[in-house]
Amino acid sequence: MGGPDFKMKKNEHRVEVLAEADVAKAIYAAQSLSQEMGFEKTARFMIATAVSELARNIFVYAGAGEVAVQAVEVDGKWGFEVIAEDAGPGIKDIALALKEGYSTGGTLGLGLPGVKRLMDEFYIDPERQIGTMIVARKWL
Amino acid sequence: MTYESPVDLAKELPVTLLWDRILMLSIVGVVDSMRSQAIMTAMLTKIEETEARIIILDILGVEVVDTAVANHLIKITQACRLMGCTCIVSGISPAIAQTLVQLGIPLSDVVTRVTIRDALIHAFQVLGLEIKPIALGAPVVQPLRK
Repeated sequence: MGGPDFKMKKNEHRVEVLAEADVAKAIYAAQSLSQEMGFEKTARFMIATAVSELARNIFVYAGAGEVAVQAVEVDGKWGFEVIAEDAGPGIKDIALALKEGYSTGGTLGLGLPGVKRLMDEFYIDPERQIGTMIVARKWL
Repeated sequence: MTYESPVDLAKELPVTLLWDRILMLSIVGVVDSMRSQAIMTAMLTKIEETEARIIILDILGVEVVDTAVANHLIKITQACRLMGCTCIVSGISPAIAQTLVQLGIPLSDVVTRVTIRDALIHAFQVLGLEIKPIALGAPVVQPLRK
């Protein structure tokens, strides 16, 4: 996985995504953490939207998985981190999945590229054999 | 509260007649696929009932506008247009506007406004109506301070 090594992680909150209603739980977890961390309104809305997108992807494409949100710190700088993980069919072609307008689910095909733009950092684990793991971060 | 189906949920949604041929619905919270279906059903049913030409959909209170929600909004406005009714989406806050731009949602075909008030002014213009003070004496109600 890319990204820096973290010195500290805190306030982790995990949400199991098994049904569409769980997407809302992930949104609320993201909102309360980003608010607590002191993000301004627009950033909070972008974070919540990105988390919603990832949670909804789990529900639509994998059926079940988990979204974890937490505060992470590198060199005194704090960031919001979301990790979305599932054991679904996985993403066959990561480059293609990040291309605008590409979708296997009959949608707009803007979801993952959108999440990448809403957040500061975005990684899809390329090594993963089963399912999908996506990490996205936004810095304060 | 749990609902059996989008049809049950649709009956609970307060689509309000603001003026002749002008409807409004405010939505708050998280919009999932069942709720969006209910919103569309409630709006279209009321359009048929009232022969409305304009419907204002206020989204200021929605928690997120991700691609799924945006997709629902596009479909709702398209369905309204098929019924001869223009859907104005109001409540586009700076946060919502920036998020939609980052997501790259093609919303250029959707009429959007910041406030319900702006949307209502647009609706009056489309219907050829204007609001003016009563000719004689002072206005009965003081105008809004901006």
